[in-house]
Amino acid sequence: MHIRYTLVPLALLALAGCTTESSIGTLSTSAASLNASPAGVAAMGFADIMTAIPGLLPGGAYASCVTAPTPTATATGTTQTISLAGCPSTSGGTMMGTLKVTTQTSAPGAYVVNFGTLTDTNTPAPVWTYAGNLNANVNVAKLTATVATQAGFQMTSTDPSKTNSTVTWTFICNLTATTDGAGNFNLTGSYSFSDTTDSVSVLITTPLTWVKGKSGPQTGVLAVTDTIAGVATPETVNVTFTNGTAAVSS
Amino acid sequence: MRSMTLMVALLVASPAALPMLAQDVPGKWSVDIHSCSPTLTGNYHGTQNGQAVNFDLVNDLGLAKNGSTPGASLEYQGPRFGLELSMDTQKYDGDHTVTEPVVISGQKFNAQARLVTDLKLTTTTFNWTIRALKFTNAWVGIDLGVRSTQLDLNAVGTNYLAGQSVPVTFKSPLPMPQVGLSVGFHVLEERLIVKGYYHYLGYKGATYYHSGVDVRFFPLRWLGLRAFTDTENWKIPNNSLASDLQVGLNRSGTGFGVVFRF
Repeated sequence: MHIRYTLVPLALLALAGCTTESSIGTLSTSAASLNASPAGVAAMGFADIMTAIPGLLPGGAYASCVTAPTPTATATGTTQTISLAGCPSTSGGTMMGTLKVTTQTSAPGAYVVNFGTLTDTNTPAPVWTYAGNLNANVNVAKLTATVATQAGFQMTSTDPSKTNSTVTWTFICNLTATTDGAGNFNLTGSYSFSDTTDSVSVLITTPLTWVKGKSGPQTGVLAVTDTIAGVATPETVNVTFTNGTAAVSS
Repeated sequence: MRSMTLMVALLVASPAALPMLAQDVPGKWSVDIHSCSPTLTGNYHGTQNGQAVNFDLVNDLGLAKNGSTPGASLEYQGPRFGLELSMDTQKYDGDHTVTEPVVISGQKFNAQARLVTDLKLTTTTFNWTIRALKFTNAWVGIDLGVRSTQLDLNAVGTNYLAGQSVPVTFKSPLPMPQVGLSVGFHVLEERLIVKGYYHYLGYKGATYYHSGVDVRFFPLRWLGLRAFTDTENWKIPNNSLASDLQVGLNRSGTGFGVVFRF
């Protein structure tokens, strides 16, 4: 039996995993997988919606791909049309369509932006569409503004090549914009996207900055947290904007 | 395991009723090609080589059989001892959305992450059977040998929230000495040969056993068919062999093959 007692420790040392090997590859995010993910919707879908804001602020202007009356803010009760024809989005897609800006009061500036036909087509899919109203109240004297959704604002993500791929997100925001009066501004605050199973809350941890004439946030960081029905621990990732593009880190 | 113990007991009992007329007949070599697709279940929890592991092969990875490459073995069965050298490879695939956090080689995948995995299980066995008790048509032996089991796991996990993908690998070699009993008998002028074995190791609460039954029928003297069952089990509780590692594996299946005897 002495053989057994010699072999047993050897065997168990092996079992303990002395020679186990493992490796981890590089974390990668493809544009397609990010765009289809809740974080992609919450970060870059949001950036699409904020495309409506620059021209409403003091000294502000839209990017060159946007056709809009100047100034966009006009007399009380009037509605102006903003057209986007091939504007690049932060998701790498192309934004097309029109927005309607209705001036509620001209001084102070209170505007309602209706997202009637805006789409963001990504290649590969998804295609994002928007529907609903956004309130923008501008305080010209203080160079600040609040940006908030009206109830029922929705963003829909669809992959036309797949059946049952449509996901409709309800978007709610209450943000503060601060501008320098020369068309540059930043956004702070928090917002959320939710569907039937996910509740994605986003905190702007580093203010998102827009630069006059450029599309999308040029700097800023979002903390995106997803609470999923039936999953105990919410997951959080950070999304960093640099020169109108987004990158994710865990 | 209970049924296996019973089977071994029956095999032991059968030759006991036979007269003890040990005759040294010439040894025979055989080569066989076989196929076996065992089920594989198990889990790793704790820390291994400084990296966290926390996954279940079936519940988390959804691994299921995806075929096997034909195995082969070379055997010598002589009057005093037997030798066996065999090799098998099986493949398992999984595509599963995890419902709770999973950690492979230190990489954590949160709930809702999609894990696409493939696992290759390679086993190589060398066994020496000392025929301690010999009867006319039967024998009882002591098995000494070594059996190497190698798990090679490749996984690509895609994070649900941001769609991030990361590949990970996990390799777990499990070389195990084989110590135990085997019994065998033959009838019909060695046209039907039955063998059973039970190998066991235990230490500090950790246990390992490997058991099986092998039946061979030779319609021709040199050509036979083989059917066998094989079960292997590792149980390593936490704080038994390592302070922060728990491993449980079970491999069990049935195989068939063709045997060439010379």
